[in-house]
Amino acid sequence: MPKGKKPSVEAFARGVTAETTKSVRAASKSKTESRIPTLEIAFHDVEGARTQAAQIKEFVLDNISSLLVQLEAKCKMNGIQVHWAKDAESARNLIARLCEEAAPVGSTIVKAKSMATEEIHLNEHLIEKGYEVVETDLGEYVIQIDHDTPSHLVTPIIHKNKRQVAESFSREGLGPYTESPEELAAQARRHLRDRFKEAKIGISGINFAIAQSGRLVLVENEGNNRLSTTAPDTHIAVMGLEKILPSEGDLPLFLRLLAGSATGQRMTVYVHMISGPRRKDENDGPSNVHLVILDNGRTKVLNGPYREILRCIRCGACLNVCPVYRQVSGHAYGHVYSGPLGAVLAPALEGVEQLPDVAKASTLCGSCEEVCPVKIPIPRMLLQLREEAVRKGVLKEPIPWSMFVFGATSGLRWRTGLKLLPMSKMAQHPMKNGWTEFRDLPEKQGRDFRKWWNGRS
Amino acid sequence: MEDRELILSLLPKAGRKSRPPLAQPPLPRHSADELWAEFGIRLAELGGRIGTREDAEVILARPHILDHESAEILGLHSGGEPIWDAEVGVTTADLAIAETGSLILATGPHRTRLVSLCPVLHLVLVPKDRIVATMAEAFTRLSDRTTVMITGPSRTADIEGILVRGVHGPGDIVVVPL
Amino acid sequence: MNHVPSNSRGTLTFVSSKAEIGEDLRSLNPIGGKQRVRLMLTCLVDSFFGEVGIASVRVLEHAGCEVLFDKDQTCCGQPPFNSGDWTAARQAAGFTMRALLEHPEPVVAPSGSCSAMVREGYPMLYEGMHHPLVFELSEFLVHQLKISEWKVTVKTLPARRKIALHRACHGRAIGLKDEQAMLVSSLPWIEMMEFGQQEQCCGFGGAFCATHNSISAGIGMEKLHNIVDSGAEEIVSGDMGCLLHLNGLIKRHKIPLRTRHFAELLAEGIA
Repeated sequence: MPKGKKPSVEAFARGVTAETTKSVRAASKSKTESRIPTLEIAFHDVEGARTQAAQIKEFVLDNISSLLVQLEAKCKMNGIQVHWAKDAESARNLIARLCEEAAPVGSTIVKAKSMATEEIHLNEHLIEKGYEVVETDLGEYVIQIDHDTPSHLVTPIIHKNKRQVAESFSREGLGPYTESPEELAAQARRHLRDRFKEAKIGISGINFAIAQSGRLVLVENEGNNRLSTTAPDTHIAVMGLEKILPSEGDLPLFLRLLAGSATGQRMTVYVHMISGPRRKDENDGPSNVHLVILDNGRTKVLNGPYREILRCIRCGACLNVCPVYRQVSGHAYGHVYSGPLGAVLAPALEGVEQLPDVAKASTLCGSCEEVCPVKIPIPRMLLQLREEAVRKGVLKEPIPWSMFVFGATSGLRWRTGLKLLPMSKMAQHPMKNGWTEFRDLPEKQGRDFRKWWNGRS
Repeated sequence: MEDRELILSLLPKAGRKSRPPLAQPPLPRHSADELWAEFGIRLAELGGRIGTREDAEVILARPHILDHESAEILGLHSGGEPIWDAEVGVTTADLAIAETGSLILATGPHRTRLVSLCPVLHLVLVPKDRIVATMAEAFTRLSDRTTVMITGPSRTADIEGILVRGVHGPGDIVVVPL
Repeated sequence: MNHVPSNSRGTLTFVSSKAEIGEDLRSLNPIGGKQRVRLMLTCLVDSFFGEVGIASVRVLEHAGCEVLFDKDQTCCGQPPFNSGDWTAARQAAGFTMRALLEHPEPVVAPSGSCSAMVREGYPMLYEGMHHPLVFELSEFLVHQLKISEWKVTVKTLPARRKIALHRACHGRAIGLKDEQAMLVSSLPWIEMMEFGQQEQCCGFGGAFCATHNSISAGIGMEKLHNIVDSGAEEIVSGDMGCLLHLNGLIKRHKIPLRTRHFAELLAEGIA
């Protein structure tokens, strides 16, 4: 953090309106509240289910190399064309080439919500190439027409209220002005139907790839994901290389943990398990299915101290429960991955030099770890990221800790310091302005412990 | 170096531990009728409903499309409206899952995926013996073709967390055990 | 890597994991004699909240313990640890281990946060170190001394009042659950109020409260609104960091709430 400048998340937070905080808090709170009752119905032992999921994901990370090779082989047997991309640029170029092979420039591409494609900024690239790219998830569609970015993994427009959506839809001519969520959803449905009919290519992410069967698993509630991967003749799926599960038998555990943790649902409406392109005797489905396996920093993370963050199944429960996320919304983190997950994943992928201070945007309250379906030790990794940033000198500490430690490593110096404490009100302290901007300074309350202790013996 | 070889060379080469076993909760034994009762409760919670053959006939008065298996069951001709215009899509399901109110539909010979997706109402005919208690049980019996598990009507809560049904897929789902 | 300083090895009491702490102490508990404990005062109690330290000693003695106090103790090192300066944190931790932990007696702190720092943070600072035997006060009373209901000996009960118990977050790190609630709710003059978003953090977060101060204050005000709405007159917690921050907001906004440590409430019941 450059001297005199506020940390990035705090600086952003100061521009966040009360209206935004209100929207984010309300939605986060309701999702958090429905999470536990749902998981308790799904599992006799929620704790045990989380432990098991964490162990399976650890097994995946331990054996990622052989599982990816297995996945590739099974996918090929299923007729899915497998491609690898080392970074965002490589992925964008590869996908653009696949699009050019599938449909002439100018064609419509329908997109199902995908964080991996957000991560590589795919839309901008394909639009530049001359394609019409249409986001079809209701929230993502709003994001696209507003030239905004998603502020949550699962509910991208958590920072907007219905009045704002209504204004955007009426501006785009989707129908008469209405603030009824039902009417707004109906307008989106009508408008996007034509896009689905004309689209030549559908692009999606995936939630799980099954190594044993070569099957791609996508979960969603709206149906746009299924439409995007069924109606167009070409389907391109993009996955972060860690999104593997060993076998289909693992799905009931993970699907229930994901649905319960993400939205408090017992099961997501559609679980689409894709086993390849349409077969000769089937009436519809894409004739070409491509899978793009994306590295983009993941191999580096796998070999470093933040490896466990790759257990993540993108449920967003840590965002929903986080006091900081609820206050500032996802945009404050300055990266597609936000909240506690993002505060670890973003600097882990891009290097702590690029994002030195997001790990500081946490009170370390630990609620993220408490809700995580795969038990990622997020607070521990936030501490490690802070340590790495300070050690590498990319994060300037506002407080000279060596001074503090000088006092804290001698009983005499410490006691002398305590005696001087009442005078500190006059003194300059690096934390003082940060404290007093919103709070009154603390005062010594009641008796002094040491005097009392000495007096009784 | 090709991206594939580069990525594979960068991945950690850890020794292969044996995979952790999955907990297998004991399966309670229930009759098909009990399972259908449970299924009906779960489906209703989601905003879907169980119907009868008579209900199905009423629904079929609307512009619809029938896949060939459901047409066979109902003794009707398959087809109907063009897929993007039909109000009602009629299919069978391969399995019903009691614990979640879910339906498993695989693709297959002459099956059309979009019938269960494009219309505003999905009418699902399920032979009564095709019900299982748990998702875990259903997943041991999956077809190797592309398969969808459907749990209730299409929904979104993107706008202020308010639940809306039928945003892209069917907002109504009626399941008829036969 | 950094290893445990050699001068603190050997006499330092180790326990193997969070889950087994209850087991380990039983062997330490002298049969028939008084349980001796060392008080870890914590730097905030040392500098601002002496009454909390006094109440903690009275509470432990009332529960049948003999309390020892090492006057050379300072700070556990959590502030630099959380800020990422682990070199500084190791210096403070090394000093604390020598001053406080090289004894057979268990250490008790009126703070979940400082307990968590020593028990879970020190093993991050020193590779191979196990979890030192430091207990948060309510954890010690409930799990080690098996007290589930507070024995009130005072003749005239204090006036009835409504309180909101804020479960301080760092208790999560050492597996605290409803220990403080159980003890406080056994006091007949206390009515514990339910409030909105009860489990949420207060926004303190150590240095976070100064570096990310608008966020911290926003989270804190949300907490205070929820508590005021519940009708509580007093916020009770087990960590003075939370209360220091909330008190600063209370004073600035002249909110009709007091803050107290739960040990002070338990001490009210002692004759």
